[in-house]
Amino acid sequence: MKDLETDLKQESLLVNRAKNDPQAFGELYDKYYPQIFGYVLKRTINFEVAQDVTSEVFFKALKNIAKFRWQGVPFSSWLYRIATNEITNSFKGDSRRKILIEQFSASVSQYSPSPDVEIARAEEELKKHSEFIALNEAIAKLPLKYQEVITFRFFEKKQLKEIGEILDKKEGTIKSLLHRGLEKLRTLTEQNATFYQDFSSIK
Amino acid sequence: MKEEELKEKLERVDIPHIMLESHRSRLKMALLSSDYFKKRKGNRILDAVRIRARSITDTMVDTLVARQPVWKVALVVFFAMIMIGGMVFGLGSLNGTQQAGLNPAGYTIIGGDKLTEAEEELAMDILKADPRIQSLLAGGATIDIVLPILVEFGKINPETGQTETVQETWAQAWIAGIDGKTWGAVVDLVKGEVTQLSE
Repeated sequence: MKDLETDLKQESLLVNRAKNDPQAFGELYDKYYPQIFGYVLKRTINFEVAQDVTSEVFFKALKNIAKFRWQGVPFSSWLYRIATNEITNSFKGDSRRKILIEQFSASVSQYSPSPDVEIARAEEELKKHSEFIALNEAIAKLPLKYQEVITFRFFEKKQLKEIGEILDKKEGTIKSLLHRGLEKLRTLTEQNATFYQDFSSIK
Repeated sequence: MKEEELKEKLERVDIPHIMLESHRSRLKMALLSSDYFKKRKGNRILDAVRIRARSITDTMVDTLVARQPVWKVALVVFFAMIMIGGMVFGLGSLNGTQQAGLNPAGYTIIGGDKLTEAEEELAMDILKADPRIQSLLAGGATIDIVLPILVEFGKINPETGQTETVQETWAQAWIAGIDGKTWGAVVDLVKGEVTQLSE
């Protein structure tokens, strides 16, 4: 418990430095990029979208970090919240993101490995997780509020309290959202199983 | 399938942990070289100047002009602002050689409107030709802001022997180092030299 408090205190100092110091912001970025990119990818299952959304999340974080006020909640929760909003925007086809991505692309170094090759390799790797993809496809059919809590709880391994901090909801609300979401997901997977069984018998 | 079975399935499913290294590094580069940090640096300098100005003005007004007529207050504030200009840009600390063309009373910043494009180019050329600034630029520093300053000083006319008041437009620049340090430079556009460089 004391270690957690010390970590949070150190992180708050780093966040304060990051408001003016690029090196400190770089440290935060290095720490949280894998989590945020991973979360966005799990929600979108699309590398192009995951890159766009993750870029948007960190540009927004940089733009707003001066306004960030420490309230004892990990910095990652703030990033996750931005990411969740950006994912929702991307599902709505928000075109504002394109501007940032164009700016970002201008700084691509000619020495970077080809993103196309890298994406193709990553897509091959993703295909190996067929059970995860099947579950995700079912989750994607649920309303967003259920998608969010199920992803955070089972794929990001977050506790209810932390999910509440990210989504700015009470722990009890998260618990009931999770319960109802799982119930809907169960019904959905059963319907799908019946459909595929019926489909197989027709064939 | 029961809810417990579904939970178990979700708990034990093999989750992909995939990273796009090129995206990670390109995004970091784009973020750290964005205008945000340059603007923040500029804001911090302006904040510091504002605080300094407020503090000096408040002190002078409080101690010297309490219960005095309005015109006296205005006069003292005017002189305070002149002093602040000198302190901010370090003009008061020019050395003897640099002051050779000036009378013993020194000079005053009396304003600064706008540099023409030619003046701005000239200021940049003078800055870049200065060996001290060259070494800063070689270390990754950048010249951030170039602004005008109108200076006024007394100069002895060698023909008449009289002291004449002269006004010249000079330039000031902020140079930002990659380690967060900032330097202020004063550029004499008439003589073509950097008269002051201070961290």
